[in-house]
Amino acid sequence: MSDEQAAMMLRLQQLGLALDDLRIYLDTHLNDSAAIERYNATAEEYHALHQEYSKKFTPLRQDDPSNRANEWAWGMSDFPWDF
Amino acid sequence: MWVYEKKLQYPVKVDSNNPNPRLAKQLISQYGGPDGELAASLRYLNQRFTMPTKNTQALVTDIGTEEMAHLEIIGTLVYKLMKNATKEQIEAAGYDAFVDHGKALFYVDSTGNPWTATYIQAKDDPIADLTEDMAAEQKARATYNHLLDLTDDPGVYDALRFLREREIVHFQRFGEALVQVQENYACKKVFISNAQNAQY
Repeated sequence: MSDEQAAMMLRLQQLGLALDDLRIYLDTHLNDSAAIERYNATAEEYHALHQEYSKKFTPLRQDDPSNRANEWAWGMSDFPWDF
Repeated sequence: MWVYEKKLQYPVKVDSNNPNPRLAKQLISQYGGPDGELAASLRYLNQRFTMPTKNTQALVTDIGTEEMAHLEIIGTLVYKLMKNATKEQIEAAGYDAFVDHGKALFYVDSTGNPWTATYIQAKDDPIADLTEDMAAEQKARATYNHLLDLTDDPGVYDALRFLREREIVHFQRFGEALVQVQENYACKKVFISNAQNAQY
């Protein structure tokens, strides 16, 4: 994994964890509008970076389009324990 | 339905060129042991169907899903610590699971007992279930403390500290859900089907 890919993966992990944490906070604080705003902003940033990562490197999810026309990228990229 | 992402929830920095079957054998308890991540995930995801409110259903769904990500982190730690282990290292560490599973992961505790559904519970009673969930988070936290005492591998230590922290956060969230469920009962806005039989 290149330095650029590793850096983007780390940022995805940071944003993803922020979402995981805010999500369960909101599950017990349904009317905290500041937290909802933060969740939405973080989700937007996460989704944009997810798209960028999947296009540039390898798909994160099965439903990301294959970024190689003649190869099934999902089936040819490492799982996280082999990063 | 679940969606998988090809990323760990938290980065694991363990050097597979420095194998440690003894530590792998200890860590496997958080994979398939009584207070491990499999038990946690299956406990919460199974309780969803009879949770009384939409937000408690959301909470056990979201925490149960996060526990699957933790299961993957523990699996990655064990896999990396075993990947390049030699026969001599495996023997010296007493990693006898090698007989039945080789270097494959399996749902056992640190002494080899297989995972069992008796580790978890569901009572169709949100007070009992949420209290069980809070206890489960504390037992997992204590197990992570024990594992932290046993390792000086910096990569493993860092991942275990993260996982221990999440148990504390989950305990807090389950506690908030329990208070809310109790407040609902106090308002006589009862959401569960067997409430008329319940004595709280």
